[in-house]
Amino acid sequence: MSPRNVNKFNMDTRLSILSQLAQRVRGEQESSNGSVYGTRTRRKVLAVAVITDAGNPGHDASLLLPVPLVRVGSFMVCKGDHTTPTLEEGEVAIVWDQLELHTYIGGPQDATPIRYTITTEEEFSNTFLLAKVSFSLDISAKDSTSSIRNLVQSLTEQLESSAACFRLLYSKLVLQNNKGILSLGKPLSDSNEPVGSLSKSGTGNKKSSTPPMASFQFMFSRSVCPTTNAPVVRIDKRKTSILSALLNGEVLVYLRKTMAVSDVANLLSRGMVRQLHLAEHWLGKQLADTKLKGSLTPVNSVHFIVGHVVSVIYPDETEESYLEEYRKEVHKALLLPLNRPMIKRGNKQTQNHASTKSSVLTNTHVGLSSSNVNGIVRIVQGTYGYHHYMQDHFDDNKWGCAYRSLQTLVSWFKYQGYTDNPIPTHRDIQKCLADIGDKPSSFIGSKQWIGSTEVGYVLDNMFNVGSRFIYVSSGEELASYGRQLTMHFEIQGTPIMIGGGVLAHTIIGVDWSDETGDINFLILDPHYTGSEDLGVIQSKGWCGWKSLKFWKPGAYYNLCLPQRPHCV
Amino acid sequence: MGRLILGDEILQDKLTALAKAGRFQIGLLIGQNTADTHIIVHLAPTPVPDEGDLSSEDEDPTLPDPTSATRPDPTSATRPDPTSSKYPDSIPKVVDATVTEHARQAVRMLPGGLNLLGVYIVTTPTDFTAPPSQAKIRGVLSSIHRTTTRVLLESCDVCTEKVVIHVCSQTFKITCKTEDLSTTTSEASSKVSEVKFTRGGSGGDSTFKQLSYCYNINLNFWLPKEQQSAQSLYRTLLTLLRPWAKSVKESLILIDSALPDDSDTLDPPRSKTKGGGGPQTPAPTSSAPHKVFTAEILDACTPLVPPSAVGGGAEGAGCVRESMGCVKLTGSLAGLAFVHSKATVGESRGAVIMDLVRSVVGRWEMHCDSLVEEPLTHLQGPIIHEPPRRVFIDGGGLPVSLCDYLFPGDTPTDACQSAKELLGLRIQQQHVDDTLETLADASDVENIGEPGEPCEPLVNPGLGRRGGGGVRAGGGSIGGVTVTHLLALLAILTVMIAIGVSYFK
Repeated sequence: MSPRNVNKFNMDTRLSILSQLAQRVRGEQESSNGSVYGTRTRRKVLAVAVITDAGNPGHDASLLLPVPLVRVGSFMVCKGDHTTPTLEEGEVAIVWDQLELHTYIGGPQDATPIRYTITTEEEFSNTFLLAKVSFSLDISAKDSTSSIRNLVQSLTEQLESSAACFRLLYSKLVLQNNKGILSLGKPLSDSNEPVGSLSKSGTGNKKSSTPPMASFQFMFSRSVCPTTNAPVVRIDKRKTSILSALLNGEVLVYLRKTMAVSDVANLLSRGMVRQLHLAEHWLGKQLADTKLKGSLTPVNSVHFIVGHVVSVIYPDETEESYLEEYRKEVHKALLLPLNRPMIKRGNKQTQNHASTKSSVLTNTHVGLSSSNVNGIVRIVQGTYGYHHYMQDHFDDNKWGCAYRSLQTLVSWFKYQGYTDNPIPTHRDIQKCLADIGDKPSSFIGSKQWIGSTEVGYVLDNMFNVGSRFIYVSSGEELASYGRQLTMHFEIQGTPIMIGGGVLAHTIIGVDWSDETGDINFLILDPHYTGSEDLGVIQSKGWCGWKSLKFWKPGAYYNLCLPQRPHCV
Repeated sequence: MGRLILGDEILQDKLTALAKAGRFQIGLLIGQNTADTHIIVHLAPTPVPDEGDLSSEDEDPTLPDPTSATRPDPTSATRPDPTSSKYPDSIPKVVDATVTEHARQAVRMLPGGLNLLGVYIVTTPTDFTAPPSQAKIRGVLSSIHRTTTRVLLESCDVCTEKVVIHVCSQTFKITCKTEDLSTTTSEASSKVSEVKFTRGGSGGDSTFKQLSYCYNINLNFWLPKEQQSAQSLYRTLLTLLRPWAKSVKESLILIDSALPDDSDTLDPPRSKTKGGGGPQTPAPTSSAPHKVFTAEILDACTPLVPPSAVGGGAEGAGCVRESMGCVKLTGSLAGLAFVHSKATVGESRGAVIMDLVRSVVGRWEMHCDSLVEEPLTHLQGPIIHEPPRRVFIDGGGLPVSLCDYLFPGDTPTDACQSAKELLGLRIQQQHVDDTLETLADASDVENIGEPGEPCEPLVNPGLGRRGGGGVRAGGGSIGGVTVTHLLALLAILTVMIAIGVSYFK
């Protein structure tokens, strides 16, 4: 093979790395080896995830990644010099030597360096549509690993056969594995249309960090008959021990918007097989450990630090704490930080918040025009809910603002997977304060205000979340805390409750210039009494950037800054 | 007035001929209920039973308890002989159980959509109108209804309005009435009805639409620990089939690879295409006997029983527990249903479901009836039961096809025999299609269990029709080997004959 060909190959193939992956890799200090997972099109490799040998979840860790991600190359973290990795033709390598990212591609003979670009979260989610497949399978088998393996094997064969069909929910469109389209229906008018046309929300928010979703129901075609053998009945009346088990499946699969709809069923089927094999791991565990009780339920999460779907399975009735060791191994394997929950049940992705009408709006700041300080902008990390007056049919006008701000703080911990507990009501909050002796029992059911100290007590007692407090004697003094607040959003990333005079607010971001000392605050105002209308909330400033003048010069202010517990 | 009753002129001729013969006769009306009519397609005279046919049926306590009146009286084992004068000569002498048993067996020969609509009786007006006769008729209709409904396991609603046709043996006049079994008082339930015999039979367009499908059944059930051990074979399987039948009702049925709404017409009349750009589809030949639609049945594969019931016990999923064994039902079923020319898609889907459930339950009933005694299963390894396979019957001058079930060892001639006995039809052997369902061969049967757990075929050499179903049991012996060899030989022979037939076509 002539060198010219090698060059040609390398010039033709482009490597792109998902921004979150590049960021995580750059933060690694321990030496490790592993594989890169991503997608491969004719001329482009997109690296989305890595699996390192540092973690051992007890099963093939790539089962945690969504279809169509496949191994596209290798990965290494080292200190100092490294040798050019050995790669198969077309494979890529990502090497982090604590100084810079080196990337390589395998040619016909050896690997050569290749340049890479960064794919942003938005670009990534604009490329794909997420398909969700729901199903429920009885996976009871005799209590031996070989019986379980046989069962999974035979189910896999069925899922890979052309009997596996997928119906787009609420439509007449049915896709069939290995065949393409079984029944054509809206929103499709001919079988050659691309996947993009499945998503009805053409008006979808381009800035969204998660792709639009199409939901499918798994359907098994009984009319695909492998033989003409008439039915027979096999009765075995020997006593036996069985593991009764149930998989409440939910598979998320990335579909490239440009792919043909007729190719979708195969990917969905592969996604189901992947989940079934993950379930097989848990069945084996359930045999050996009676504490791992319950139906197997997947938790699909898209954490902002990861940027793509991670799909784990847990037995329903098992304590979160009992699963911590497993979670740690998964974190290590996928190169996830060990100081924050990312794959707990609470991290389960709840798609389409907007579609559930009654629910609280989330991340209401998205879409606001930027602040005018042009300093360092730091905003709450992840998702929070906008809690304000009059929600839940509860009239707390003129007294409940701090309660609502506390609810927003709690919502952040809920969305980020720290807690499964519900958002506390005003009464829950009052009861908690009475229980710890901070308030008399007559406080319960009253309309008395609370301040940032009480907010801190409740976070601590109900959610095991500690807080830092800042006290200032005038609104202007807040300017001198610019650096501290910026650091808070960078390191902790939690919303801040601020109380002063008769008002409470939530600070969800700052824009601070370390040169001029100017500062703007991104404020979420709990005094809003209207409906969940994002347009009004943004245009009328219920969620918006405020200057220092927003705070009263003559009032004292107390800030409660919740601190993330270190856990997975 | 009850629903309008429709039938072909030929049926009128037949009834008149019976009246002219002057002998008492009772028989079943085969046809289809629509929203506002009863369409009769065939008259099946109730035969004089021979003892083999009327062996005591499975006395299953789980089934809706047929009143003792419909039970065959064990002392009346001496059945009327066809040649003797013991054939009933009036309504009071009709043995309830004879008609019920006829209904039980005849309904298995009907494809989906078709059912027993009622009875016809050739007798004198005095006999017909006597109050005891009327009570008797109502009793017979109730038994027929119960018998034909229970094999459906509540998967379909069966019309409770039954048809009674009286052919006067003196005036040869044909009169009709309907009995609504859902009303309790016999006065209110009985209505005079109009019967129309026309060429073609169903009022307008006489062609029935055919729906064909196949169904891959694959059920697995772990027997709960606390279950009482003395459960009959029939009942054991029914615990599995009940939830299955319920799930069948929920399945998604595609018709010709599309999902039309239930309210759509299955075969909408072609509107005259106005001149336009689109490619014109060739007009279908209007004289086609019946248009064939293909149905596909999809389900969500969800567990039929909640995990708490799997293997019994109070715990949910994810626990190891004791089970008393395992029942597996697996194989491919060939299905057929017919609907009238103006049927909706909903009616068509209902006909498919009716066919599916009736075929599965019906063949299991036949299998259990055929067993001389229940195998002592707990003493041995797994046992394979081979219920009879389904064959289809064309011809006989009917606007629809029929079906029958052949035990291992039976031949298509046996199906012709059934058609003659139960439906009064002369069918030629070449009109029996036994290719759509085949006898599972030994290796396939063995693979039903888990790999590495062979289930050697043995036991009960098939005694043929009504003699004994196919049962293969575990625990090999020399005898077993012999039977295996015989079966293999039989299979080879069958293949050779099949090759020969296709070669000489």
